Amino acid sequence: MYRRVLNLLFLILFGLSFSSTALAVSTVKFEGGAENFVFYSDNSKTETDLFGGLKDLMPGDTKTETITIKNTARDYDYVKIFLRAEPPTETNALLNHLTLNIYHDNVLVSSSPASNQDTLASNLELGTFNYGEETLLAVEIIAPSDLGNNYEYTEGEINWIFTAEAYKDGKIVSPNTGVTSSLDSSNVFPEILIASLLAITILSIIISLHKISLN
Amino acid sequence: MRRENQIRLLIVLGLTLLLAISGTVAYFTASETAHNIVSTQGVNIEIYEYASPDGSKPFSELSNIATNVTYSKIPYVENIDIEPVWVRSKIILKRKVGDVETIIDDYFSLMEIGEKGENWTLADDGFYYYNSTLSGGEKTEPLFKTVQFKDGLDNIYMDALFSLTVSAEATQSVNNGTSALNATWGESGGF
Repeated sequence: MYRRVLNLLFLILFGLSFSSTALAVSTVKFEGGAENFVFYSDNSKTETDLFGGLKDLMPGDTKTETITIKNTARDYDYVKIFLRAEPPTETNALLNHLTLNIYHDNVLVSSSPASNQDTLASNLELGTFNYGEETLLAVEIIAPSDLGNNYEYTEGEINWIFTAEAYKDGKIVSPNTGVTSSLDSSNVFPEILIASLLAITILSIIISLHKISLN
Repeated sequence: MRRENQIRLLIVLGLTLLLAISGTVAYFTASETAHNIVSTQGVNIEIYEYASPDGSKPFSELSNIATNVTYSKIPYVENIDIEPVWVRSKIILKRKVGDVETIIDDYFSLMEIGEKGENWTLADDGFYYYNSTLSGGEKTEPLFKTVQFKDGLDNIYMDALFSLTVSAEATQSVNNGTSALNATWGESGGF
């Protein structure tokens, strides 16, 4: 409840601080199971476009999209959600000129050209969420006033990867299948060690057989 | 075991370990990519010219024009996109004799531009600036409605071909000044 009130307050304050600019709202829901993450945004261009409010930019514009990230999966005790940016696959001249500021719960976590989000190169933990809990990201995009006619009617794609880790009874479970694993966060490494020892044993047998055949 | 085989074994072991780690981690996380798109808008206008006030008769070429006769020519501009814009317009008079075409800078001395639109302001740079923003789909009032060649023109204007061209430019009005007169135009930035 406390977090909800904080989030609402943040949304109102952020809306007021950008009252002269456009403000749009999108949602990312972690549903678990086969659905995994579900994205929604008004005015989106594709099913996974969260920047519905960051369209039709004009030079000098500042536009903001507020994204609510929410855990709606009932099958787990809690989930951890992370965000990272995918490096662009091709150069986009428009994105080079735009500034992208990302606020997480009112704290600036990234400020860079939209083409190069270095601060999101590795996973940013957005929090630990019980069922129904949420957090807010505010994405602010700034188009410089000297953006020239070359950039009329153009677009650029910014890919974000959301990752979830789901936990039940203190153990990590598969977020896709809901299958509980014998693994938990404290014993992932021993499992890897067992897999590696098994691989080494198999390899040793293969090498021994190879030696015998050579002799 | 020969050194070469030892190296091969190490490589295989390394790859196996890597596979084990990545397989384990991938299994216990769920990921989804959001393909977020940002886009820009633009500015687009169209200029129209009519010979009748109700717009039913498009303006066409006039032949055998005479002095002191009023001809109907009604140009206006329409914003054919959604972004509000500032508009400015210019009148260019050219005279062509044979293959030689010249621009007549002081066209006021030759012709009378009649029934000028009250919402247009002539500035020192020769442009007429529209006094208010033009929203998407909106039209300006006509820049003028009639033209008339003045009496007493020199004989050098006989048998010449005149072209009276009205050009128009638009620039964004959002984030760009408080009037068309103080807005930024051209290559210095903005759409």
